Amino acid sequence: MNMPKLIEAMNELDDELILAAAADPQTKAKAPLFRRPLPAACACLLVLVLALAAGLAWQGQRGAAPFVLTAYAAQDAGGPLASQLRPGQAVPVSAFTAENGLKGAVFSHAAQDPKAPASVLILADGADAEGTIRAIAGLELERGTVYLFCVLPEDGKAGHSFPYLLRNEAQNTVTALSISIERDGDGYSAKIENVVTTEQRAAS
Amino acid sequence: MNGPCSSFLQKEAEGWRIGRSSSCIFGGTSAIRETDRKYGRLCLSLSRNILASGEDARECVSDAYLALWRRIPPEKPEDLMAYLAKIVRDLSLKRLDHDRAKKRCPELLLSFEELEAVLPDERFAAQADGAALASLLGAFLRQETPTARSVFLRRYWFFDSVRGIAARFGFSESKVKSLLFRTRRRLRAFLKKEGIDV
Repeated sequence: MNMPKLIEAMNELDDELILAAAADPQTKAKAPLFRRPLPAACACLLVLVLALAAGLAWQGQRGAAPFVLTAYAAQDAGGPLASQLRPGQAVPVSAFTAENGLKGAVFSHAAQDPKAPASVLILADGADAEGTIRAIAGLELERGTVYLFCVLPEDGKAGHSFPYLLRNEAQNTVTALSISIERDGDGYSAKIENVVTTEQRAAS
Repeated sequence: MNGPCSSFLQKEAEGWRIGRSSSCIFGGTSAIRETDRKYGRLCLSLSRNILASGEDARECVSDAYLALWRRIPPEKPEDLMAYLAKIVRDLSLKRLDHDRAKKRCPELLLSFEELEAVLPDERFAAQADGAALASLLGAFLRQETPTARSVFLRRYWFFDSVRGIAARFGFSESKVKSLLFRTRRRLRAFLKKEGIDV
């Protein structure tokens, strides 16, 4: 097969175009939420199933959050283990590493609008939030899901609590809770505490 | 590092930087070693994408270093990396053209086919030379989004596989194929608009 003329002509393109293409892409490459291979579709399906199941189970419970918070823990084989977080009950979580080496625990819950674009909330304790957002920006996440990336401290020894506030416009409520993450052997465990749901008052 | 020109190693030590805003001066075996350290991987990968043979690619890259040594000076490229990559690409394509008997990489043939559908040789040949076409291509690429532009160049300049591009940009392979298809379609329309009979 003869070489297309365009292929030859491209060697005379300006340097700036070549250099830009040779550089790392601006949209972060791969942007894996987790370092280990993740069958994203399975994980998202799992989250959805858990969310539906837990949503039904939690209906009408006092003190329970009006949404399901899912925690992720790495496993030796397969994708991450997703567990529902119930108030006061600890479940295993893992410190997942973003591409820049930043470590954090990952949680998710369904967004109020299932068609809404996926979002990532950075819950950090005094960390450089802007830099953190930049570091994990570009993640390709499931639409209609809110992901929480709780940045763990470098030393990782002390427990950390991340306050989280969720407004439910349909029910006109605001739920406040805290996600507590502690060292548990070689890994971490997380639990939600102090779940308080209050009716949202209209501004006077 | 003695000789008619100083090596760019020396120049870098003096605070020079090889880049758009500065000239670069090349010479000496140390400079070649340093060039290989800095750009060897890129060059080898580019040449291997074209020649589908590690051995041929290494030879081609060595030839490119030699060509670089001979050309600089008197030439003063604005950017050494782009200049070197162009030499490697050119030499590799020439070698590919020369060794017609050798089996070609299917991925490369596919990229040739994709571009040939945009602009078949025989129809174009009478209308413009390579420089004119490069100028048009440059104008077209500048009006594309940075992502579409980079994906296009990764495919047809660096000859990366679709899978490689997908991994590089964090896209699915189907997204890369779709991006390339739409960019080729726009390029064809652009060339037609610019008077190239496609």
